[in-house]
Amino acid sequence: MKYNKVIEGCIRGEASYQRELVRGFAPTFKAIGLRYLPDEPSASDAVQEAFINVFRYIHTYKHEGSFEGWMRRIAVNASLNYRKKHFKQRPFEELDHHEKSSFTLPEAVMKLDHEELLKLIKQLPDQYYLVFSMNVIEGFSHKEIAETLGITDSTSRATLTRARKKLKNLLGLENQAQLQSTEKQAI
Amino acid sequence: MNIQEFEKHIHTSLHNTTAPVDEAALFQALGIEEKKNRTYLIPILCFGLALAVIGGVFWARSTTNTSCVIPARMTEKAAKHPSTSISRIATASYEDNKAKASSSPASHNRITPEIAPQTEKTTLIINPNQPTKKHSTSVAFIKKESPSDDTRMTVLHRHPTTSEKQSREDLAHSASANQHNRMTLSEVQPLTKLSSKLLYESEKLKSSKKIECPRFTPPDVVLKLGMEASLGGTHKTLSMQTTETTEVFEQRKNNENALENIGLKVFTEIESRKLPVGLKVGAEFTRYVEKMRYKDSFVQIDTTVGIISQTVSPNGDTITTIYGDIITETEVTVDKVRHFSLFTLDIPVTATYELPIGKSSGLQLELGASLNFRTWKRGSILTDMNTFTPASEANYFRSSMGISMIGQVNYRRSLLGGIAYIGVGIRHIPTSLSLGSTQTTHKYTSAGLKLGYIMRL
Repeated sequence: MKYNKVIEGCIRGEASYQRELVRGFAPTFKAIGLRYLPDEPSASDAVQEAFINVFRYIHTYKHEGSFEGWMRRIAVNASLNYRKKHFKQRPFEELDHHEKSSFTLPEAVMKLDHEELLKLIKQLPDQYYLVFSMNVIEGFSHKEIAETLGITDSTSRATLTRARKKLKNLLGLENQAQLQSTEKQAI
Repeated sequence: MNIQEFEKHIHTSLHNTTAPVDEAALFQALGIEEKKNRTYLIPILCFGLALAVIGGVFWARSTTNTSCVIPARMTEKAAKHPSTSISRIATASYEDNKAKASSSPASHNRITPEIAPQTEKTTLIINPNQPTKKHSTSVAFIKKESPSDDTRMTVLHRHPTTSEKQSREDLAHSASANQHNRMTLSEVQPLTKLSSKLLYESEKLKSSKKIECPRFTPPDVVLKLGMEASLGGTHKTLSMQTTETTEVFEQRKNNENALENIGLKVFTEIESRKLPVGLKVGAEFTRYVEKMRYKDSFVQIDTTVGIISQTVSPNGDTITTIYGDIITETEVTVDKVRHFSLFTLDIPVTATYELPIGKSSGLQLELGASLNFRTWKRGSILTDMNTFTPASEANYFRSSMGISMIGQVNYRRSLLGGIAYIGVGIRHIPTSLSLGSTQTTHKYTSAGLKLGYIMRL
């Protein structure tokens, strides 16, 4: 496995391997931190806490599943913990999942780059944004989201559905002009 | 285009995004900053030490085997006192000749130093061209001259030995060549003094090959080999680098205690004879032990689904059964004792100063530094509540402790040809034993009793 040597070195506490791991994952961790936290200093603090946890628990990594996924989960958890500790949050509303979201979107949305996309989804309400990001961007299952956020699976599913609807609204109303111009360019 | 495709696009675009990071600041915050490349210091230090030891040994040896020029005042003194060791070669040869002369029946014409002044009209022939060694075997031959006859005749009646024959030939040759070297006996100083003159004022002697003189003063430095065992206690300080503490840290701070430390050291000591100072360099192996008693009690909640209520109507028709969580609470008490050990291999270098007490004992002060070469970990350490992890895998300790300060006071006494000593020592390790990523500072200061024995090489 690609990271075996680094993992073993980190378990032994060798600084050179720890630096290698930090060099490899810090930019990704920082991007994760910036997705879940409002400012750059908070994201940097979350990155630091994430690596402290990585070094503390790396001996528990069982070599099951991808190491990147394991690392990513630690980074997301560190960011969310930081968020919980330092920023006020509204508690999650318990919802039952019985709605289905199926709608079409204009092709032009595919032309949005990652900055525009992030700007767009950051317009979602906090809870919607969290669930949407964790599910869509990080690839967490609803069970994992539920465990991390301390909610039920069905609440996670229902929140995602609502986030999708809200996103549709955002795309239809606020980004209409932008989409039209992008479509014209595409034509 | 449906929402799933759009979400896939979002995932592809944002999943692997990165953001710039200040690596140096992050490394520093995590305590894994790149150290300046100081690895070259270790070989330089080792090379310096080796050079010092080898230099010390060569110096000590060279001072025992040197060619020397003996000062004139010492030669005179030696001449007056032939038994003085400074002119051993001359006096030894002189004694040999004297013995030969006395054993020979025809040796009455050979004048010993004691009778030389009493003999009259005696000519001393000195052959300054003769090498020193020949002079030493034929210190001086005295020719007796008849007062009535100017003709000089050598009065040597005994059969000469081969060496004497050679000497006489040399003398005869030199007699013709060096007339000016002749002097009357009245001009001659006592033979002992002449002997020294012959030895040390002769031009030949001065310009001849170097004389290998034995050294009668001891070398300026002494090289010794010693061994030391130590037993002591350790004072540990454990603190958090952040203002917030964790449960694990609190548990460790309250219940983890440093126990005894034991050590073994082998060293070489270079001591100056002239000054009461020296240098000790060696290798030391030490074991530090810590013990932790983990006591905790908590309520463990087990939830199982079962029948929590059942209703049966009076006529027996209606049966209502309610299933739900049956919660069982169990109080769990944990009491565990775990140890972990740190084994260190160090290179201690100390400067020493000795205050003599009486003839055979002294008080020695040592001060210096110890470079940690390697640290090994054994045992278990608390990493999570109720979880002990092997210390070697816990990612807690550094692999090297760096440089520590050491000081020691020894009472030394001569014993069985060497020096035995008992002392007390202290060692302070300023570097934290724990990694920066643990956010804790774990330091040791140890003190203990030392017992050692030193042999002279």
